[in-house]
Amino acid sequence: MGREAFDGKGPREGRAMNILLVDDSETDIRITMRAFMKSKIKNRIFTVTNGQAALDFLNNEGNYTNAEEYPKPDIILLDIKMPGMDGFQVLESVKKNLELSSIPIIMLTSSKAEEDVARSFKYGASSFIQKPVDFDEFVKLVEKFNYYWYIINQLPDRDL
Amino acid sequence: MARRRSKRPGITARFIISFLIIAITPLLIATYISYTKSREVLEEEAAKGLLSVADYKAFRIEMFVSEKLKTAENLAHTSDVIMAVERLDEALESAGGDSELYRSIDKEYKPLFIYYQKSLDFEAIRLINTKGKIILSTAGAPRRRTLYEMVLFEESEMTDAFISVKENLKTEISDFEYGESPGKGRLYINTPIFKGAQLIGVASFEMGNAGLFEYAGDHRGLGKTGETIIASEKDGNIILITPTRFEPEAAFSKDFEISEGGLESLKKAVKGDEGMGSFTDYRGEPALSVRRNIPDFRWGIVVKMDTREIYSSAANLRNTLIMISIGLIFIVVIVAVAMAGSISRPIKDLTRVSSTISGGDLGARADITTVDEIGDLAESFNAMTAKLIEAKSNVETKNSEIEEQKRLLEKANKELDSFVYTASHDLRAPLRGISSFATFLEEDYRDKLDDEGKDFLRQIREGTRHMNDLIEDLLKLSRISRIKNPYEKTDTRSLVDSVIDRIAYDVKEKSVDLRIERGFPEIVCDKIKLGEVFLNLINNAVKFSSKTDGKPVVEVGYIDESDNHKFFVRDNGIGIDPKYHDQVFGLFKRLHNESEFEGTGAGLSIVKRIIDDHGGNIWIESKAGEGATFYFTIPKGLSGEIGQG
Repeated sequence: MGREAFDGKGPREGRAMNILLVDDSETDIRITMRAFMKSKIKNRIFTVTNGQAALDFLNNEGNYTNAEEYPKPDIILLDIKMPGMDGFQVLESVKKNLELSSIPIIMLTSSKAEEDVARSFKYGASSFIQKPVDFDEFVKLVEKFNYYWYIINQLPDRDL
Repeated sequence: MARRRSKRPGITARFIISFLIIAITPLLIATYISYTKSREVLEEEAAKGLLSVADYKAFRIEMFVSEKLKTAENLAHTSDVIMAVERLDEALESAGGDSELYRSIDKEYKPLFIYYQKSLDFEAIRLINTKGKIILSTAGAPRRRTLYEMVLFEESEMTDAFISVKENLKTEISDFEYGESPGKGRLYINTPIFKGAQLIGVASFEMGNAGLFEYAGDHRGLGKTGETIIASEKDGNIILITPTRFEPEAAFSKDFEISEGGLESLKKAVKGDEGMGSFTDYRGEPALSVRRNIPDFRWGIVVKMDTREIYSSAANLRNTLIMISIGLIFIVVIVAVAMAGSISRPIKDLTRVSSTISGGDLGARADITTVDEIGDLAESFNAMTAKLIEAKSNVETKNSEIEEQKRLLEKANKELDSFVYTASHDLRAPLRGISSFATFLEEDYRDKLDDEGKDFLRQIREGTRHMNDLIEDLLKLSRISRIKNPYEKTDTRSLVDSVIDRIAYDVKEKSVDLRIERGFPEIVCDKIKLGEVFLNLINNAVKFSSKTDGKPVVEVGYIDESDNHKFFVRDNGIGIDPKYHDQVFGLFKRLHNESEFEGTGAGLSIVKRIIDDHGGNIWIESKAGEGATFYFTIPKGLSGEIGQG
C-alpha cells in the first residue's frame, strides 16, 4: 500500500465514502467506528441498530426522511444476526429495490459459517468479512478494506 | 463365497446306473458261466456221441471187410477153385491162352465164378497163376499179358497185392485205387490158393467202395451236420473212399478240395493217430472230429459234426439269457426311474419352494406328506421358514428401531450444529468487546497506567485471544465429526508437500531440518482431513523440536504394511513421557503451559478423531528428552464412500 493512497484524495476528489453500518451490538459499533477512525481514509459512517431502521434509512422513510441528512451510502456494512429483521432479510430487500440494488453490501459479521457465506453471496452480497476478535487485527482489516473499496474499486457516483 | 459344487449325475441317473449294475452284473456272470459250462458239457456229450459212432462204424466196417476177407479165403479153399486153377493153368501151359482147351475150361468155370461174384457181392473175381497171369476173370477176357508185365504199363494195386501174397502166402487186402468213373474206387482182396502145401495161384476179389457207402451214409446219431468220412492214402495223397454228406462227388475225386485242417485230421486218422480235435472242414465250417483207424486196411475214419450244431443249444441258452437281460434292463430302468423319482421329486419340490422363498415369497411351503426322511426334511424346512418369517419381522422391528435412533441421532447432531454455530457467533462477540475495550484502555489511558496496569490489560487481551483459539478448535472438532468428505485417491506425497508449504514460514524461521522420506503411496482416504492430520503432527513436531539443543530435525515417512498404510512424524525435541502417551490425545490436554509452547491442546484430539474415523490407529513412541515419533495407520482397501464414524 503506497503512501499516496492515504492523503484523503482519491478518485472521489476529497470526498470519502459514505458508509451505512448496520449492527445491533453497541459494542461492535463502537469498535468498528474506532477502527475506521484510525484509518487514514476518513469515511463518513452512519449507524443503525436494526434491519427495519436500515431500510428506513435507505428509503428515506421513518426517522430518516431527510435525504440530505441521510444520503444514500456508497457501501453498506451489514451484520447478519440482528433481532427482528436479520441481515439476510435486509440484504434481500435492498437487492430487490432497483434504486438501491447497485449499492455494494458487505457482510461484516462474527460468523464464519459456510452456509452464511454461501447464502450471502447467493442473495447478492459483494463481500463477506469476519470480524476479528483482536482489535489490532480489526484495524489492519479496515485499512485493507478502505484501500480496496476506496482506491482500487470504482464505485458508482451517488450524486448523479 | 459358495464352494464350487462338483458335477455329479443326478439322482435318477445314479439310481438307474446302480440298479442296472446290481441287476445286470450277476445275470451277465451267470450267462457267461452257463454258456461256457454248457458248451463244455455239450462238447463232452458230442465227443462221446461222435466217439461211439466212430467206434461203432469202425467196428462195423472192419467186420464188413473181414467178412469179405473170410469169404474170399473160404472160397479160395474150395475144391472148385483149386481144381479150376489147376486145370486152367495146365491148359494154359500146354495149349496156350488161345487154345480151345483153355477156352472150354474157361467157359465151364466162368458161370460158377460169376455166380460166386454176384452172390458174394464182389465186383470181380480173378484167378491168377503163380507166374502172374490172370487165368480167369469175371470181368472180361483174361488179359494176355501177365500181371508182371502189366506193372510196366500201369500201376495196379492188384499187382502189389499179388506180389505180397505170393511172398507172404497169406491173404492180403490192397489199398484202394481209382475206379473207371469218378466217385468209384476199388480194392483187391488177394488170397493164396494152395494145393496141399504148395501155392498154385492167387484168387483176387475186386471190391468197390460202394459197399462202404452205407456206413458213411448212415447219419444216425450225427444230427444235421455230422458225417462220416472214410479215407485212405494213395501216392502220398488223401483220397476219400466214400462221398461226404454234403459233397456227393467227393469220393475218389482229384478235384475235391479238403481244407488244411481236414487234411490234417484225415492224415492222422489214416496214419493211425486216433483221437479228437477241432478243425475247419471243407465247407469252411468249424467242426469237432473224432479220428479212428482201421489198421488192417490202413483206412482212416473221421466222424465229425459242426461245432455250431454242437453248441447250438448253448447258443440258444445264451441268446435266451440275453433276451431276458434286455427285458430286465427295461424293467430295471423303469423301476429305477420310479424309485429315483420318489426321492428326486420331493427334493426338486423342496428346491423349488426354497428358491421361491429366497425370491422373497415367504408364504411358500413344501407340500410333502410322506412319512419318511424326506417328509421329515420337508417338515423341518417348513418349520425353518416359519422361523425365518419370525426372524424377518424381528429384524424389521429392529430396523425401524434403528431408523428411529438414527432420526434421533440426526436431530441431536442438528442441535449440536446449531449449538456450535451459536457458540461461534455468540461467544465471539463479547470476546471482541473485551479485547477491544482492553485495547482502547491501553491506547487512550496509556499515560495514566503504570506498568502493572498495562500488564493487566495485556493479559486480558491474551486471554481473549486464547479463548478465541479454543472456540475455533471446538468448532473444528465438531465439524470433523459432522462433515464427512467422500474418500478419494490421494497422493500422500503431494499432500505432505502442500502442508509443508503452509508452515514453510515457521520451518524457515526455526531453521528446522525437515526431511520427507521417499516412497509415499497413493491411498484412499479423506484428503482434506488427512491434510489436517499431517498439518497438526508436522506443526507440532516443528514446534517441539525447535526447543532443543542442537539442530532441530523433523522426519516424515511411510512404512508399507500388509493391511495398513503406516505414516510417522518424528522430531528430536523434548519428547513425551510414556505415562502421558494416551492423555495427549485428550481434548485441550496440554503438557506444557502457554509460555513454553503455544497451542490449545485440541490439535491432537482432532487428529485422533480423524484417524479413528478412518478405522486406523495412532500412537506415540517417545521418552522424555529423547524426541518423539507419532505413528498412525490408515487401513488399506478403503472404498470411495463417505466414511463412517
